[in-house]
Amino acid sequence: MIRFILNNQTIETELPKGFTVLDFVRYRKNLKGTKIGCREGDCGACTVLVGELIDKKVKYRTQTSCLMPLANAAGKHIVTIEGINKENGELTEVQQALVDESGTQCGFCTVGFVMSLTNFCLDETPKTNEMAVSAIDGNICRCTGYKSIERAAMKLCDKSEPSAVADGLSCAIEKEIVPEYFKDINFRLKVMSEPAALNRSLQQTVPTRFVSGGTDLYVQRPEVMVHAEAESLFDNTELRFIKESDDFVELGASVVVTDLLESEVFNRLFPNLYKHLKLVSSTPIRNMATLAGNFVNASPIGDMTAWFLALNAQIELSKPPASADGRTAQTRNIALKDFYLGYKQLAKSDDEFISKIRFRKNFTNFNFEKVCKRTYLDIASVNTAISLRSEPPASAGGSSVITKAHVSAGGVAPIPLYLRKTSEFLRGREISQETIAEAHEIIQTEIAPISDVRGAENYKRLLLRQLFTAHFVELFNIKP
Amino acid sequence: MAKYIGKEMSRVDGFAKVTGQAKYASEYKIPNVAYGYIAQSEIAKGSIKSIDTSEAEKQSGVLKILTHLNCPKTKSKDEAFAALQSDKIVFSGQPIALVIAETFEQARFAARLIKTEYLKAEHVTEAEKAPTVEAPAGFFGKPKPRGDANTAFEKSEVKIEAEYTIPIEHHNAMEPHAAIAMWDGGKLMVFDKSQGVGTVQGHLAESFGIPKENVSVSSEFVGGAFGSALNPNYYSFIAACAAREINRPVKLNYTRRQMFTGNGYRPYTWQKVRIGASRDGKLQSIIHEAVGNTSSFENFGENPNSFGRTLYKCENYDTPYRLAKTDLPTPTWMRAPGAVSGAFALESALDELAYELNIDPLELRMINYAETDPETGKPFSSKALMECFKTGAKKFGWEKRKMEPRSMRDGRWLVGWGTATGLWGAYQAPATMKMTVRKDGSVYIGSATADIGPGTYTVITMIAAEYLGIEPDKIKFELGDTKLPNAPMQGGSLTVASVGTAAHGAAGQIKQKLLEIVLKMKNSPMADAKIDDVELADGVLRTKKDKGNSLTIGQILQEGGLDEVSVTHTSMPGKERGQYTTQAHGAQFVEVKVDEELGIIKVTRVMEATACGRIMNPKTSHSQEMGGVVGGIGMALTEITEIDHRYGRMTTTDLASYHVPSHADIHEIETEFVEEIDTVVNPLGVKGMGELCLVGIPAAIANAVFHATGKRFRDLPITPDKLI
Repeated sequence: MIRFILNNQTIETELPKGFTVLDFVRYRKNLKGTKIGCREGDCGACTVLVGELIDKKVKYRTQTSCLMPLANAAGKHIVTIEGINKENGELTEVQQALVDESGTQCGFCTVGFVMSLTNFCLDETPKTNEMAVSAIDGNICRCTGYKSIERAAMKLCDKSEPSAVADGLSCAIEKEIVPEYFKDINFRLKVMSEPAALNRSLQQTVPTRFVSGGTDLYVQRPEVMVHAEAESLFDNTELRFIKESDDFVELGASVVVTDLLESEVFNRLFPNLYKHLKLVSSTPIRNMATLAGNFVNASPIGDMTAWFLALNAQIELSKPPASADGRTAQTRNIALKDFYLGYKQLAKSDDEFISKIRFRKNFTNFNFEKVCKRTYLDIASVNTAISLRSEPPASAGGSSVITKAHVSAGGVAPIPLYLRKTSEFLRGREISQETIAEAHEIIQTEIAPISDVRGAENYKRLLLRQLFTAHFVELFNIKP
Repeated sequence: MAKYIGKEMSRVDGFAKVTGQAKYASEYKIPNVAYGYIAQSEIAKGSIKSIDTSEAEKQSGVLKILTHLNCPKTKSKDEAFAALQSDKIVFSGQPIALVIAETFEQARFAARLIKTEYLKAEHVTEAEKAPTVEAPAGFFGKPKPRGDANTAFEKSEVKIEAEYTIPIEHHNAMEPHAAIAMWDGGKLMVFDKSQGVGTVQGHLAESFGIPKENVSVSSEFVGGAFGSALNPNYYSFIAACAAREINRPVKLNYTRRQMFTGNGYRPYTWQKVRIGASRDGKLQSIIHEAVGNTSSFENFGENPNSFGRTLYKCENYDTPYRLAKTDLPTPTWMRAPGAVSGAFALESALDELAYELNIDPLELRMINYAETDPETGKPFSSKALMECFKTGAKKFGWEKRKMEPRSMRDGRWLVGWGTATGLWGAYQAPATMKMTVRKDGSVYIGSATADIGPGTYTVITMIAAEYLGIEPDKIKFELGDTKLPNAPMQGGSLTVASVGTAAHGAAGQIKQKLLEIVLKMKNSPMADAKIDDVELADGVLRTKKDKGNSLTIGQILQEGGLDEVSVTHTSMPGKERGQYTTQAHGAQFVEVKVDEELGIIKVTRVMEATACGRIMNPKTSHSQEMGGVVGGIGMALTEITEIDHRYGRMTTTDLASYHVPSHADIHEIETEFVEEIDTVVNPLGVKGMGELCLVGIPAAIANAVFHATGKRFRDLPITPDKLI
């Protein structure tokens, strides 16, 4: 049995937990306002709000319902357009802005935009033009050319007073951007018998197959996933933490990309965090895509994999006991760079799952670069990340020596690639044009890109060369 | 002075759309509906040796599986593709089975379990390697060579010769195609995603060999189409077959991936342009060759090279056009079909000529400006292209442009400015409208047109409001249903010119009828008034001379003992049009910024000035124009349907790898209308704009990239790999 709140209604369903929220709302509840544009998380037409109790407050985020299994709705508040519409026949401020600015043409993508902008109004992001536009980075429109929607989005900023930032939800209720019943959701979620009904603790996890955010599994094999016997790790509270110690940062495996964006630790350690992570997919997908999911998916071009490879991260693999008899799970640690054996081949047995991720804080510089054909919402042609420790800490100008270096690259091999030789070469070198030039030669011996739809082999080789240079331009303003 | 026309009005369907209440084809709740899922061919050419559906049939919920072995045969003689008709495979992705089940999930799951053995044949999906045939004549016949293009070219002082290619592109409207089909005895009812319900009705009637009256088609809202729903697609027929076989309503929804092989695409186009000119920039000869791909079983042509023939003064012009027969599905119309492809080649070549001559590219276009139609010698009904050039250039700041490539910079970004011209016909087709005015002042209008997003619901309502003198919110407009009077398909940018003219005419007839009642009144307040002496305004019929001399519509109907007055009016293109060439024009100015090291191109500024007659609703019009500009940006920089020719299969069949522009790719866009007063095109003076806005954009971008980098890109899209 899965329990959650859908709009203003409490749902209890015996449907398979792999059934998608999209199909549930459209086919079982006949709520047709949520549209099916692609079923692959690309278009944003099926965007819903997902409210979750975090630190006693309901926190809403957008998710694409096509990739969201019912299991991940358990104990949460799922909101479709029908849960936003006013009963008195008026429009909310978000809806009115879209109508006034001609932000809807054929109308098929529109509801997705309404949901994304509604979330923007009730979450805690600063109400700036940039953030308003950023809130709709996961929505594709083929008619309007976006400008009218952009105007509507900016209108919402003008109206939100700075105080709105403090408690977005109350403010949104007061402004009737969301209905009154949102006030009670906090209480209703609390009393809903153990929201964690499905979130067994690690001790209770039984050996099976595991699914995390599912943002790629539901694209690759949707028909299989509906009935798949798989344990959802997405909401496992033991896997959703970011902890910092003197030397390390430790993360639970189900941390999603947005958690990083909102983490004080990450913002401090990675000053360009927002700039880098906004290149990763789109807001709704960042709200769903877990780190472990990205690692295990083993896409040679996974953005977060490249990121953590360059931090030389360690992962903890857990193996649940044969039965849930209170015995503790077996765990072992492995370097992420040793995790990939071949194309989609992992150093992991089927009954193991990633439970923790850990990396050292001993780097002074970090950079991430990605080139794709479209600015947002795209899979990279090539990506690369680098972490360095330089002594004395290098700023622009002055000479310093690299004491630690880890470089990764995606899209240039059958696996997400840790550039071992290049990383090793960099250690002990001065930060200089010569070092970069020599490193280029080594990189080319380490990679084996193939020609595919994302680019020809030569192009990818050239691209990585340019991106590697870009690391040094970005970090030290060293031009080739 | 118009009260509604030309003023900004928000969409009448805005409320329905932002609240998610607008119903698209697959969203009607039909009791007892079953779901279909299409299984597709894995090979591009050959035949099905055997197809085993036994495992799939055993799955729970599965009701029936249709294959070529048991699917009813179409009675249509149309050469267009019909699904499940034979064992022959003519393209990869061709439907080989339709699984019908209680739920969508069950149908989709069972479709995976169908086992098919093929007899493979050698396929050719590369247009360059495919055999070619002469293209069929288009809507306006096959253009004959003008003058002696070859000789004139050879004799020219300056010659340009260049080849251009455009890859296959897909419409990728946000709504996947879908139909719900149900039978009631011998009568078929279909909800379909369609740009013209009449054509779907005709197609289904023909396919089943039943009278047209027995088929009804409804398409109230369409989630974008861009041409993909002009011709009937194969799914409505097989959905109807399935519904008849299981005697239940059947819903059939394409997946996004199925949209790549299920509703046509913009064809691959190869073009070679040869331009001969004099040193002072006068065009002497243009030979614009084109080859477009089509399927092995159907010839689709869009005459990409013929649009340029009326654009510039040039006595010698030839446009040979052939089709390459590939083992792919048949292409179809996609926004600005032909015109945008042809303009990419011609307008790029003109830019090349401008550099050869060292004449400013805009100046070159002005030098060759055609005051009359160079093809026929006829005058233009209106043509404010020169004003578009001037207005656009001024707003863009074109005079600050330095001719030399690579001469403008913004930090590490190379800056380039490019221009191009756009052209589209100002078409009109016969259209019929039913109009009913009731005693309470409310109005019903109906016509079987479509609104795929441009704002037809809104603009036709505004026109009716204007000429009936009744507020728009009292008017209910119904469209997209075969029960309504005929209207043309929503294609070719002719809807407002056609259906709007019908609304205008119908309102005139209503006025006539009301006046007749008034004239029959005892002591009629408007005795002896002629139709032109009176007007409908503010809910009353009144004399123009004495506006106080008026009767409300309610009063008039009361007098006539009527509850309502109703007319059905058909409007035809005016005869005067024949003496003129009717076209809409535009000028585009584009700024790009290029990072040569990473191959990144940003279109940072677009200024598009268009002259397309009278603007009915600036709000919807500007939005439509911007959408067209963005379509052009996609075409220039990101959109391509890649084909793995080893398997003859399209590979970029999702929105993750088929790159329609995302918001972050779009920067500053300004659209400007240079209004024309044109009494010839139609009584409203309106021309289409939905396709015009796209034409010229890809060329203007490519020209801007040349200006920025000094590199000429003749193959779209201009992706980072080509740049570095």
